[in-house]
Amino acid sequence: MFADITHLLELRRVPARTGRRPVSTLAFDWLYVALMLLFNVGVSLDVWSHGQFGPDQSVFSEYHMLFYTAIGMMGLLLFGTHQMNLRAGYSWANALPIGYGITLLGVLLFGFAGVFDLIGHALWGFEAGIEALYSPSHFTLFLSGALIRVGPIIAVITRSKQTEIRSLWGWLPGLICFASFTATVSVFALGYAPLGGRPFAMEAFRPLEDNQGYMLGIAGAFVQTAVVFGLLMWLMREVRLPFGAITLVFSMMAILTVFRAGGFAMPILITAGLLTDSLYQVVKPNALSRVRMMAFGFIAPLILWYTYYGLIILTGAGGGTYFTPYLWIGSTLQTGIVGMALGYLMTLHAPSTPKEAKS
Amino acid sequence: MSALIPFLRKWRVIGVCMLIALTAAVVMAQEGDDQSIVDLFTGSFASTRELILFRKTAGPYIVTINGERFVDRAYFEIEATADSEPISADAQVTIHMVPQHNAESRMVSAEIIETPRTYEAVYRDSDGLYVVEMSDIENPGSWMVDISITDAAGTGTTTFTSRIYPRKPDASVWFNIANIAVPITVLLVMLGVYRWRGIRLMSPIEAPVRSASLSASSSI
Repeated sequence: MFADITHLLELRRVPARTGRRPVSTLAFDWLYVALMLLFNVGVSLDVWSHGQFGPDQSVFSEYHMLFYTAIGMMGLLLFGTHQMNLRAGYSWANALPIGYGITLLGVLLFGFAGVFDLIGHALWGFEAGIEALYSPSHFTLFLSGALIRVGPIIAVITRSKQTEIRSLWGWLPGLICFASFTATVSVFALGYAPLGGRPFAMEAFRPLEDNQGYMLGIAGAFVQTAVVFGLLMWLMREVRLPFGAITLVFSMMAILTVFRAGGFAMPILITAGLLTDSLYQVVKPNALSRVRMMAFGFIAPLILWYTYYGLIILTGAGGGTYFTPYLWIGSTLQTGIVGMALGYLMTLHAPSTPKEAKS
Repeated sequence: MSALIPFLRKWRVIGVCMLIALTAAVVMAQEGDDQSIVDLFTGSFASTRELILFRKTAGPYIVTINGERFVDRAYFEIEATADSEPISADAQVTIHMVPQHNAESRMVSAEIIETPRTYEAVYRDSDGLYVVEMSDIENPGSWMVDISITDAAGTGTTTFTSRIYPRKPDASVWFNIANIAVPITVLLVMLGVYRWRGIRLMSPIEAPVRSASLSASSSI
């Protein structure tokens, strides 16, 4: 009792930090990312296991244990940090380091969605085929899975604005989370996404009706362009990335697709990542220059999708392509239009002239 | 950093307690289906029976299929209704299965070894379902399944694809425990190293709650 009163009095002596919010260090981000990577490994192995062996024989499957424990530890870390910062004088609402508030929401939502999913399976059965990408409980899982990746991204952006981050190492936790976030957000398009989903341009994925294959393949490229380059240009709008950052993000995305779709996307994404990194250094897209952002938005998807079609044609992967040159050349140019439009949107609310920037 | 020390102590205790509790849960879950804590409370979660594998329209009928799909245990339970009325006990329900080799399957295709086959579903009085046992399928792979129903409302057919899976090899208790222990250990070890090396978790530079230097999207 006396200890509690003393403790309360001690708390009152801590100067209040109203209107301030803690910022995590790189060490904290790495701790969180280490747990998140374990979570990623668990989820990826679980997806692989379901593809190979069908339904689990127990809710306590080995991979469930890994990713549920990992997310439990992530929640514990955030809860402990919240308590630590409360004692350091921050207000209850602002005690989590910047970016990690939404992450804690993701952790809690994931727990809720996990139970919701189990109950749903028991009551209404398993989602069959593509239903798994769209059922409400799975959507909640994907949404929360995306939210838990946000913290380190925002933390790195915040630190980069306060103090210059010189090495790629300093960016790494944020970039790993950014790649995971992009991959998670793309999950809804797995049924037709060319990279990591179903490459309908390949002979092996050719449906009975060629036109269906054409439309799915082209629409998939449009959607994937919007998701990948939309998020990437948002990041470029916020910060200046070091050389190698885009290659790293693309490589991480490739690794995340291996469990699900094999290694087909790996050489494409690594090659396109290196080329896009070089393009970034040359064009230097930023929020203050609409022309540069739109130029990057136009050229970058062309690099990705010409690498994609080029690899299929040159190596004959998946039996080569049945897309005619009219289709793959023309539709890829149109992905450039999608990227260019995104580049325009990314500069809409940014100060477009140095004068506005000063004000 | 001094504020962190009591928490590190608490976390160590919490971590060890969690490790013990979760390890106990794994060991109990491993002790066989009859005594599994999963089965004690929520038996259906531990079952490999898939509810509503497929629900399709076949002519005048709505067909719902549950079942299991393993090489050593494969069956479909078929429920069919016409105008919301279940089909009669003397309806004819036939399943024709053809091994499928398509790009969706990343497994060894059943086509290599298996041959097409036809089954007559048997009516089960206890629950009014038609059951097809596919005990002769010995290899994993994808199948194209045609289901045909003939009853008073007429004949209806529909097609769906289904996989037959190999059984997942049992994971050892130690592997399961490792899957629980690794995240807990990573958290505790990294916190321990940070404490030992005096590495801060929070930056000395704070951010305002509504930072002018951050866009709205990044001030969460």
